[in-house]
Amino acid sequence: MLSYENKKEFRQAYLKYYPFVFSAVYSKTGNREDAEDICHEVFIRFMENFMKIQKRSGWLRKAVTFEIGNYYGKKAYKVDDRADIDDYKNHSLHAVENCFQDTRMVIRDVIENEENFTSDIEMVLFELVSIYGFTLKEAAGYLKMTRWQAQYMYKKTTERILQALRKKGIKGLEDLL
Amino acid sequence: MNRFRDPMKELLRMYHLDTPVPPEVRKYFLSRMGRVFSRVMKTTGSYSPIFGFFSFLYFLFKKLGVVIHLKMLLGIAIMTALLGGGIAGYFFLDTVKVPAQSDRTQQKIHRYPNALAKTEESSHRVRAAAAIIIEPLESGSVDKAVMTRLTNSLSDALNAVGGSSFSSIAVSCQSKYSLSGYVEKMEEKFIAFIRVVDNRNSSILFVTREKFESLDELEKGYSRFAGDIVTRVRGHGR
Repeated sequence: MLSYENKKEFRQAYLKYYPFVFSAVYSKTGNREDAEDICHEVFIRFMENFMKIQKRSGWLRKAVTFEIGNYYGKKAYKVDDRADIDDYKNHSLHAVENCFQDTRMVIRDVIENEENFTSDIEMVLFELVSIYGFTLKEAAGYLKMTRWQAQYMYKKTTERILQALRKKGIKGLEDLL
Repeated sequence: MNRFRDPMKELLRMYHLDTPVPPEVRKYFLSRMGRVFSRVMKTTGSYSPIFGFFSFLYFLFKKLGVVIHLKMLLGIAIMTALLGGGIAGYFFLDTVKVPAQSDRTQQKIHRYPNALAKTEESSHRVRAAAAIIIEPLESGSVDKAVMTRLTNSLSDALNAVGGSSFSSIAVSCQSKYSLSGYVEKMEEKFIAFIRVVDNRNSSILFVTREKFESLDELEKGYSRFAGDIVTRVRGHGR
């Protein structure tokens, strides 16, 4: 069990990562109640391993994927609804048929590559704003920074991502857009 | 920045890599943040009322959008506790009408209802700081009513020698000295133990243990004790 100091640290981490986790879960499930249950499971696992985890955002992303599979796996036995799980698993892969699959994979690789982010918080900020549609002010509030700090960090991250895309052979955004 | 064109967002949108969460859903999850946290803490067995209270304040302020640091939170919690404690204490004292006492003494007073009655009568004297405070005498073998009588007799004996407000039955931090003791009955004989302590440094000022043939003799013996105690207390005070 965590000490009082570690519990306080966990609470701060929870506040930082909660929007990131629920957005990741909700975007994949589209159901508030299920998303809340899965968030609960993810944070239990997070707390149990809290002191061992090095890269928290990366760990949480994997935990979200694992717990969604786990949750619907258990639910399927109850409601005999395996088709939906398969749908969920394939949903993201088949979402964009015939639509620049290769480029999409390259972009995905870049934005999911932890090496393109200087810190955990930078990665969370980037995902909250660019993927989950949070405003910079909202994201800054969760991440304990000012709006201007968040804006500066986001700008720097975007530049780094574009640089990484250039290295992969994509010279300008015009090529993509 | 959101008011301006964000090429990264456009890029992700174009390649269906973004999955925006609607504002009403974000609001819903924000409102559930504290509850999910409590659930996690309870499930993992890490929940405690104190931590729960702090966390409740923490998430409440976060929800309200108030920027608050941990030290400020601690200050607020302490102020709340002091205020609550103060109000509770005021009502408690108002109900009991006895100055602040330890649990042990309260227990004793419950065991000696007559002594309590006397304490209530003389509560104003206690507040005016009697020279010596008598804790109700204890006994495992003598009847409660008799013990109350003996305690009152001892107080009267001290007051007769030292002055009307020399002693009072209760416990008060305002007094420099406190008297405690017990009386035990062995067949028809009584053994009395009396001790006077200086509350400031816990040093024993007077102590005696004597055997008496009867209850009347015991009460007469009190007059002798009283003379010695008053002399010691007054001599010590100088």
